[in-house]
Amino acid sequence: MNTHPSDKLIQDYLRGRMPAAERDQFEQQLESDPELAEEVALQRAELAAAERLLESETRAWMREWQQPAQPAFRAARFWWLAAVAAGAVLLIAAIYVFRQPGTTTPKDQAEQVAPPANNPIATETLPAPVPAPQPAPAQKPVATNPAAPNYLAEARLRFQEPVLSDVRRTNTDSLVSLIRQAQAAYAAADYRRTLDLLAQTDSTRLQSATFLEAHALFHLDRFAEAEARFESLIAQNSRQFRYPAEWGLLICRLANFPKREQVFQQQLDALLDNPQHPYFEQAKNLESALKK
Amino acid sequence: MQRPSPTPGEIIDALTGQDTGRRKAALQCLFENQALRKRTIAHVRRYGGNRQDGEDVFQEAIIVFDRKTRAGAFRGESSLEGYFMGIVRWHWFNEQQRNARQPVSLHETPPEPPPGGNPELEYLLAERREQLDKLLEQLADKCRNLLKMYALDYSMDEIARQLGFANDKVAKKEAYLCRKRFRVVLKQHPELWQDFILIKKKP
Repeated sequence: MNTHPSDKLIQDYLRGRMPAAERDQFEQQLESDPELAEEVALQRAELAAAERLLESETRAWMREWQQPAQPAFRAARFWWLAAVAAGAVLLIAAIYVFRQPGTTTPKDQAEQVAPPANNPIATETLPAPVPAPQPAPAQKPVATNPAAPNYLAEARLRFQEPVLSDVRRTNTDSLVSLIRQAQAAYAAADYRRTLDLLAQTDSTRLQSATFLEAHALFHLDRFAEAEARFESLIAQNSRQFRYPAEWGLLICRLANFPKREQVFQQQLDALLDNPQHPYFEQAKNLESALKK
Repeated sequence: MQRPSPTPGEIIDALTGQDTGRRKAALQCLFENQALRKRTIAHVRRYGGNRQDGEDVFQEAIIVFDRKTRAGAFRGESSLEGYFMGIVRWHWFNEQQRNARQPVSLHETPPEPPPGGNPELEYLLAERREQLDKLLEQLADKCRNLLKMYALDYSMDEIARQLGFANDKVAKKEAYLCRKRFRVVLKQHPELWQDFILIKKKP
């Protein structure tokens, strides 16, 4: 966003990229040049405001990532409370039953609660059978093993973003506009809106729209659907998108571990057998990272 | 297959690059790093906080780590965990001082601030949050997005591509108008403006 020749210098100063000696000199200049001092103050304010916006964005992302983990965390934290409560109820019930005068033994109870169906007297004189309190099913906390494989995070890191300018122009203006809007929504990481906009186009007829749609679906963790879109591009033997779609497909399968492990491995092996493939090096890196 | 963790180099590249998706993925890797999270919570609990404080400090440390990495303060020469924990220790120490929740023992050596970055900027972000938010509320969405990309040091070409402008010249013009608007709004708040003018080397 550098528009003024001295902007770069000011930016280096504000972003802490200026060497110490140069910085001292620049600060001396600031003392004697009120105009420069004002410009620096303005740019500092801009930078602070911009950083504040980034902070808000990162916090929103963290809330989004935290949401699916929250119920598991709660369950993990409070499962033992439920187990203790169930145990206490069971204990109180047992004490109550055994302290009653003329109490029958559990064995007798078992015999009484199941009277023969053809004995109406028995059903009338016996109290209604009370279902014995069942112990709470042993609920295990959802294990969050820090050493567990995190294929999803790896897939997210290796997922390749589309070059949006590659989306070709189409014949109708409204379609151009929709795809541009979808691109803008995608660039702003608003993937739901991207899909809404693409849904208004016939994306099955536009490879570029399908490609963008697959990426948006990936970001929304809808890996199976993203996989299907990438597969369709490969099936169409798209000259422009075939190879990126193959890579996208592989990464979707990695994200969908262990469900898609087998097909992932097959596809990775096939890719590694082809040194001419444009994603050969990336596949090699991925393989070595997975083997580590 | 064992867990393939992204290398610090990959994380730095993603945070300093011009690809929003990769940036988001790198931040998510940090956020889902259970070892870092546990170490953070353990540190906070050891020094008088609870689990929730630990979780808050962990998230705050990710934000500071991102900012410092973009400013070139962390280049992967030291370990990522070590640098991250330096931010955690510094942040929690300051947090306690601010809230006076727990008197800091005289025998305890205050942690070193994590190196790099810009102290004036850190001060403004810590102490002038609400005022900055008030300024930002007066800007349009488009302008806010432009400012965000400015913080990320994106090129005009990249801004044009991501925000759907026709070319870099249009992006440059939009950026100029946005900065102009921001300056007008800022000068309407003399108390904050004075703060920006007077700030030199606040702690």
